[in-house]
Amino acid sequence: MHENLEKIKGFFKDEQSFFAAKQLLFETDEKLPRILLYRIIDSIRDAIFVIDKDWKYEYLNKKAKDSIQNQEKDYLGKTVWSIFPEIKTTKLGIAMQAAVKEKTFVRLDQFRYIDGRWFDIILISHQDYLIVIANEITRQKRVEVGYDNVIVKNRAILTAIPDDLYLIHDSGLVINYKEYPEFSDWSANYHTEFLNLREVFPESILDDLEKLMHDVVQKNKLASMEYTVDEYDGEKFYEIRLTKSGENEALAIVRNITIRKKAEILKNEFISLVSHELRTPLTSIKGAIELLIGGVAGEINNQAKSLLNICRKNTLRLVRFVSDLLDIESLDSGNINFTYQKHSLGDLVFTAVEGLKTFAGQFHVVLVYEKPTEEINVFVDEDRLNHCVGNLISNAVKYTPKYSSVIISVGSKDNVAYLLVKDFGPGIDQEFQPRLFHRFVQGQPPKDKLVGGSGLGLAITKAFVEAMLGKVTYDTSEHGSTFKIELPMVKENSRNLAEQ
Amino acid sequence: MRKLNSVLIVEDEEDIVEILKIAIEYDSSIQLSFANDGREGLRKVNIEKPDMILLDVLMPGMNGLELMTELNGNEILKEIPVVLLTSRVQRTEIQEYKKRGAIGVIEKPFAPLEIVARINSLWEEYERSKKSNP
Repeated sequence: MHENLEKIKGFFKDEQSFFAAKQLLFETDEKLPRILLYRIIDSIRDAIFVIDKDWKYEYLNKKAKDSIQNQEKDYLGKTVWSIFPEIKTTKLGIAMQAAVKEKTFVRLDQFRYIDGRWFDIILISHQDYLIVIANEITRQKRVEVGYDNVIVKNRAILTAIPDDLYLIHDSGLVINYKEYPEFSDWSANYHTEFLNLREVFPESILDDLEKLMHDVVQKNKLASMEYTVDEYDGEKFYEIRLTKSGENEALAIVRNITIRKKAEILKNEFISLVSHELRTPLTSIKGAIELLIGGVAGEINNQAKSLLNICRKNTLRLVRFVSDLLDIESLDSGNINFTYQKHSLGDLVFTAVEGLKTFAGQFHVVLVYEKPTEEINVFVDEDRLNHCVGNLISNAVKYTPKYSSVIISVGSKDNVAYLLVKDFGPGIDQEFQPRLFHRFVQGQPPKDKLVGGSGLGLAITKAFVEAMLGKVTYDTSEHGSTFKIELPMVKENSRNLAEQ
Repeated sequence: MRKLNSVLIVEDEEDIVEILKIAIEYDSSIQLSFANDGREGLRKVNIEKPDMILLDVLMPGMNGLELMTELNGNEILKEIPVVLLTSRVQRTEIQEYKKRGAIGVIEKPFAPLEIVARINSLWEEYERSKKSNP
């Protein structure tokens, strides 16, 4: 009796009601009047059904009545099998029969299909009775099922992802997250195989990786780096992305980018080859045409001259395109060097404007240069900046109307030097604006002009200016557009910006 | 100051050779001779000892840079100024070429009507630097 009592202690609301029940039991000794027993079990928080030896419901406690919406008259005196004929062969039905037969204690989880609730059921068979104790655990069960579901789905996602995923701890421990998606605790997880950074990543990147790891964990930012590995079937390229995933740990996504990298290399080599192969014949064509125009082969009439000028102009266009392609390729492959020197922005722009006056004249456009009132120095690569300024001015010339002007001005504000190129063209199409700085795109040409160009000018300008720590912006309306290059200004006393 | 009298053009592209020939002969009385690769160039430098070599960088066989290395290894020939013709535009390369001893770099495509002025000014600069720094 005592043992049994201890067993059911947990079914009571609290310790006090258990002791009260125990007291009652001991007062009445072994022969406990049924009515008294029922009073005790009414106070239990679980639903309790008492079933007699003929499988008839004999008693339901308060909680049990609640659970059947107080329809106890449909239960009392009737057999379990007549009310629920279907459960005889279910897990619960079989367990009940087994409990009675073997006079044992059985515990099981049971799902009730009619209302989707879960119960923790304890079956106690005692002499002539079967006591069914049911505790609703729907909420816990849902959490459990949900958790299991998430795990299963996570595993499915992880299996489908071609990338490798690792969790990296500050200490240098690593786990393969695809194998252990449930992993959560670095201090105690006995089912996890801990690896070491150098078992997973090549020796050559460990220092960089540790720095990156530190950055990610400390500053909580996403970071990535690329590396190569010599594998048995050739060189492979990988990209690793790190993101903070907990206290002192980061999730690393490692992607094989070999195909992309090889395609890029091939593309750049191809561009480089094509450009050089085009340059040689273009040198001959351009040279021959210029000699003819120059009268080296004798005087030529005006019509022939104008035809040769068409050849020359178009050859120059091809030459420019090839140069642009080479620049883009150099930018992509990182094979580009800037030679920085201190320059007066005003002087530099003045030279560029002078050089473009003839070009502008062909379009019947006047270049107006507004000199800065003070000396503004910038630390730039002269040729590259010239290229950028030239691009902006020639764009403006192409889009400003005939017999109008392009206004170029230089100034400074808050230690930032700027250059403005203003045209009076139709403005940039709203739809086109997001792609303005993309490669190989061109806006609608004005109706009366053949614009021409590679569609690379602004992309290169932006890349060059950004490489020189500046930025390119624009402002546009139907009255015209203004492009602005901003560059950090060099103070008179600073000797070398590159050293900073 | 000595005038530029003779130039050896080492270039594998026949058409470019022709353009250089027409342009230079039209504008000057410079004596020209030609070679279409580095090896022939080296042979002609040895025989003719031209005032200046106009040298293409990319050529099959012995290329321009290899020829320069050969010239630099010879006490007499290394004194002959070399102007490189190249379609590579990287400025780091230009600096590299100058370090190897080229007195100037002409980028392709070049303006043929300006070529004489260009090589003459490079020549004068070279002569001046020789005088001040013999």
